[in-house]
Amino acid sequence: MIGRAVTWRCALLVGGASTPLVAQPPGPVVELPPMIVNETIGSAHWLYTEVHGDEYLSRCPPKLTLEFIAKRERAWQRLHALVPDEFLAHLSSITILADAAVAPKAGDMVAQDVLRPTPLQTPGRAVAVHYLPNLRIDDRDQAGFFSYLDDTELAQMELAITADYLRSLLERRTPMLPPWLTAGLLVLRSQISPNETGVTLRPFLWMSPEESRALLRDPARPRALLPAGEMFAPDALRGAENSQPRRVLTLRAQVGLFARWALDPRNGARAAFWKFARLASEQRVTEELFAQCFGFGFSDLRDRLNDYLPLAIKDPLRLAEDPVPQFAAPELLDATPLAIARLRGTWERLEISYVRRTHPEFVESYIIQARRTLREPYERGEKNAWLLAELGLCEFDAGDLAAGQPLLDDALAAGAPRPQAAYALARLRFAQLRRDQPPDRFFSAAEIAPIVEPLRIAVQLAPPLPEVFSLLADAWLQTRGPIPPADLVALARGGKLFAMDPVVSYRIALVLVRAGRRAEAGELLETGIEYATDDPMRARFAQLRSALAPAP
Amino acid sequence: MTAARATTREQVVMLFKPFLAEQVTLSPDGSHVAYTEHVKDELDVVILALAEPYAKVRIAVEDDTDVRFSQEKRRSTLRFLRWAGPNRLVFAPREELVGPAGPRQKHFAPIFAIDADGKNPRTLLNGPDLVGQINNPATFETDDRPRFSRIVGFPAGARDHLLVQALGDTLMMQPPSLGVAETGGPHAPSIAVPVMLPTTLFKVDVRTGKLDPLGDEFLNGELGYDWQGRSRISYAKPFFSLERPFAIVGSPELKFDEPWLGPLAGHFTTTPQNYFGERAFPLGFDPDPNVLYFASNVGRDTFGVYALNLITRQRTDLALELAHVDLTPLEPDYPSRQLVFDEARGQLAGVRSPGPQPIAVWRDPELAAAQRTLEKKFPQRTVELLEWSDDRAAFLLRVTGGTEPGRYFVWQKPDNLVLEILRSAPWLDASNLHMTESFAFDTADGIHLTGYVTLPRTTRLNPPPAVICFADGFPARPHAEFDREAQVLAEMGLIVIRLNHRGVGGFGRAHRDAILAGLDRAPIDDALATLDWIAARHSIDRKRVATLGHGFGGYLAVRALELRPDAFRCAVADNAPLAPGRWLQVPPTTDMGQQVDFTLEANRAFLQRSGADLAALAVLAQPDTLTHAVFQIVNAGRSDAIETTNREVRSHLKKIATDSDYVEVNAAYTAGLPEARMQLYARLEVFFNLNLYDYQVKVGETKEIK
Repeated sequence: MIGRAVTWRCALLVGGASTPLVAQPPGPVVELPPMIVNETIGSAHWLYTEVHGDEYLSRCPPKLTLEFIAKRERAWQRLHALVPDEFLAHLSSITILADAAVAPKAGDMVAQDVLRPTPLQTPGRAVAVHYLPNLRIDDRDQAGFFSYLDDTELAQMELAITADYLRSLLERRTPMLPPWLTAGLLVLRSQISPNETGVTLRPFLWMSPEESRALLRDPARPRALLPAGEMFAPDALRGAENSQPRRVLTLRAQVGLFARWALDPRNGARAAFWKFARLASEQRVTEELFAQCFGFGFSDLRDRLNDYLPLAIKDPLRLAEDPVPQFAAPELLDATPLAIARLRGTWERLEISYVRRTHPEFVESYIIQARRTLREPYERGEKNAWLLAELGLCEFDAGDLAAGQPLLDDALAAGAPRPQAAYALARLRFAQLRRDQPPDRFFSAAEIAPIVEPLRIAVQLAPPLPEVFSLLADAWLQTRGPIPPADLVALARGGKLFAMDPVVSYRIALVLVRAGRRAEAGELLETGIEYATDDPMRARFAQLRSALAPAP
Repeated sequence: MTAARATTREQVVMLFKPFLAEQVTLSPDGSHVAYTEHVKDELDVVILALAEPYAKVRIAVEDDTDVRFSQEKRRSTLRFLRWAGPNRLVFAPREELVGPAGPRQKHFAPIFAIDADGKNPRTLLNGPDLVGQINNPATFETDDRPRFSRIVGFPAGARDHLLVQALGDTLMMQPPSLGVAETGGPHAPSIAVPVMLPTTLFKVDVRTGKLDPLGDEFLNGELGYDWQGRSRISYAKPFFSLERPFAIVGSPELKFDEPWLGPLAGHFTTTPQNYFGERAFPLGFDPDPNVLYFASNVGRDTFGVYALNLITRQRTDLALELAHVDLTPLEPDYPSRQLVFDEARGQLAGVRSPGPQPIAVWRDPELAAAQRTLEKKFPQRTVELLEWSDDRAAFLLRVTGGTEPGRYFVWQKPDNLVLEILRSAPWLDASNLHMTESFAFDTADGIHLTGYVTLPRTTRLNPPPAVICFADGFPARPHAEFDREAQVLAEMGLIVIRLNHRGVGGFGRAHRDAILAGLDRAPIDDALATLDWIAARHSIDRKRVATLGHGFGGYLAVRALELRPDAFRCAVADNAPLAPGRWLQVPPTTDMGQQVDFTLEANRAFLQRSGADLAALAVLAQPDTLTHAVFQIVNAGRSDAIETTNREVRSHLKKIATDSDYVEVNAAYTAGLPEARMQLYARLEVFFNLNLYDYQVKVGETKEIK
């Protein structure tokens, strides 16, 4: 996953800070993640600090670094006025801060040298490269950020969490949030007024600017809102009859309206809303559940939203913020060579997937760069678990599984706190076990032990990854022996965390059925079938559900 | 809980403001909706286009009218609002005669038509077009007489014409004097003779207004027409007989005693004895003129709807029934409001049950499916499928229930979107209203009781006092889902329980007849059982419970206070017949002949089935039994049994319950006009403050329950 980490409340992000790497006549422009290549590791002074488990590596002056961290903290506080922290995924992150003054310039020979094997230099195809000044790349279990900082510009700016980042945090939260909640909060995020102090939402935009203006002129204007039951239903847009553009547009606007109504202090529903959101992530939404939180039912909600709409489009809404604690500046340390290599190497490895997706012609340069950064301390004898995990994952990303596997073995042995590394290793081992085997071959518990072992570690680590639970279920589904209780407990927990992911929940349900835990399986199937994305998947859910039903 | 504030004038005025869309209709192509709206003491019809930009055309129809002794206006209403086609709307305000009888009397009975864009307005018909002629026995000349009208509807497959009935009558007129007086002798007693004013059916062209009379009928009663505009159903209501027979005239003819009718034969004549019992009556014709729909509860508890084929002389297989709800009222109206036809397809679509809680039984499977779909969209609400477009892509619906007095939607099926087009009362904020829940339970004696409980948002005491409301009318009508008065009472901090006790109509014979087990005690026992049931679910101060009722319900409210002073603290009785026996006395006859009062006779026949001594049921029949305060509301100047008995009870209460009150109201209150209601509720609140919120009420000792 990629995206911008923060938005600055000015035009800085519109490419102003990006620098053309190769001065050429007008031609195609490609945007690439920044490459910190015009130096060797250790040749510049890097600062290191950690705030709430997020690591920073900065080549900026201490004052500028601390100012950025403080502003980022403030951005989080403002976000929490919109979304309490408990509804956001908690991914550890690394942030690389570089001084805008040392961003690659035109004619940067080192950078050009790195990119030389690419078609960039092909005669007659002049391409200008812009380095993205501010970028976020998500991995499965962490997020990486890179920013070029300019002290004068930063002083005049406020930072804000981008909608894209917020989406990522909402979508990766466990237990999973229902789609209506994520969509509704993102609608509100898009309506935050950049020019207001505090967190203020602009007058609500209903369907389109024209429609909103018409409604402002005539509050009694006819309008369609979906019944609340449909608004909360995962399958509200399923089927041709439900996917007409008007209905899609209405649902998208309405979930935002619901969130706004709930957060508007005039409606006194904020606490009920978050209670409902919490419960909705843990169980199926029913009218009873809703009434338990709000004190009224679905029809009343539809009516209240309908009646609130003319108010919402009329006035801005200032969101209540919790008292802001004094910012405690973290201690900035001189970064060790290991920290520099680990964090830079991690960032550079993250860039590989981004470049592979956007400009695959440059990916080899990024692989070389990441490998070089991570290998340097390793070859000096450094066996840090994180470093080993990153090295292993880097080789996997480069497609060299043979080189990556022993590194991941070592990383796990060293206690790498990375579920992604454990999963990658287990997946590889499972593939190796099944290679050249008939698909219906069952394995013994001893045979799947090398697969289950790293997964047992992974299920204990944060963040919980759906693929970890899915693979654990798959492994046990290819055995006939009893499933250890601890693994069943882990899978049942995975079922609760990823009940809305039908791929995961179906597999876990199968395991639970096999283990005789039919009630839990039944609950998973009830939820999962609502989120099944196609008819064959729904049919599988339905078939299993009916097999669970007691005989008449 | 926060403390409830005093009920404000604004709240009452808002609640009693006339609702929008007392009538609403969808055009056959689904492109427009027309509805009524009151703006500044004026009745308007609004035509709303259902596509962007939702253009509106507003037509001023009529000013609201003055009310005697009041500065408030009585709202004007429409008696007809229907689309004659995709682009032509027909509407008619109520009609009235203005001025004293005679040549200078004006008869306003306009029927208008207008295009959807507000163009081509035309008065299709008015009072002078309806004039009928009689042979005056006094002058031996032909006289013109005004006739009221009834709009029958559109003939089958011909929406470009409207059928309008000019209603005839039987007039009792004096023949000329025999001339004895001229000779100085005594006057001969004058004897009135009946003179028939015919009923005439007209066909009106909705574009040109061209009027074609289709024929005269001479009948004292009701006439029902088939879809071709032929009078086929006669419901005779003779002046001097208590038998009211139905007949099917024209071709094919039907006499309702024909043997092939089986158990139904002979049940198509209404009498006071069978009025509340087993009987049947015709409802109307199918577009196929040989198929007659009728209602019957013969051999069953509730009225269902069935059909006869007059050619084959057989019942069809149609049987629309509900186990616990009557699908028709006790009296038919022509054209029937219960039969719902799909005019585009020329078939019966279903049947709409009367009563405040509407239920439709759809014969058409597509409509039944639509009803189910829409009910899923609006849980805990009542969804009425009012009309639909010819292609069934658009459905007009009204949704009520909870705190909601009514919202109108068009379900645009291709987009599966429900477009809210208007609210009955947009000035009422749902979050400021008091939540109403329906309830239904069986008592320990197996009696099925239903009703509504309105819970105050805020209370003055915890647990709050309650008021239990008996149903109005005789037989009582079921309570409506949304009730303005319940909202006012809840605003006073009371839990308001509106009970459909035994004797309430619309739930079949058994439920209605169950009151005969004890005309007063049965509903009061039901009230006590309901209080127990509600108290088990909502906290209620059982020492602070009031009773309330209008009409016969008012009698029950006071009677409950008299019979169970331990359970009820005070009562509110609005125009209550406090002595049922005197209320049902036949009024003095006039020298105009022995004209019968069928309703009174039917009520009396019903009550006499109980075998009860009606005199003993009167409030104060036993002295000193009424010891608690009563708030009496009486229509001033009626001088009838109700007012007389209320005055007697008032005299008694003056001596023993000084916190009682007696309020004389006028037509403005009866019409539900906001200011008049406000004045009354302000006094009622004082009454409750004295009698329910009185902190001297002994609430009893706290007991530990094991």
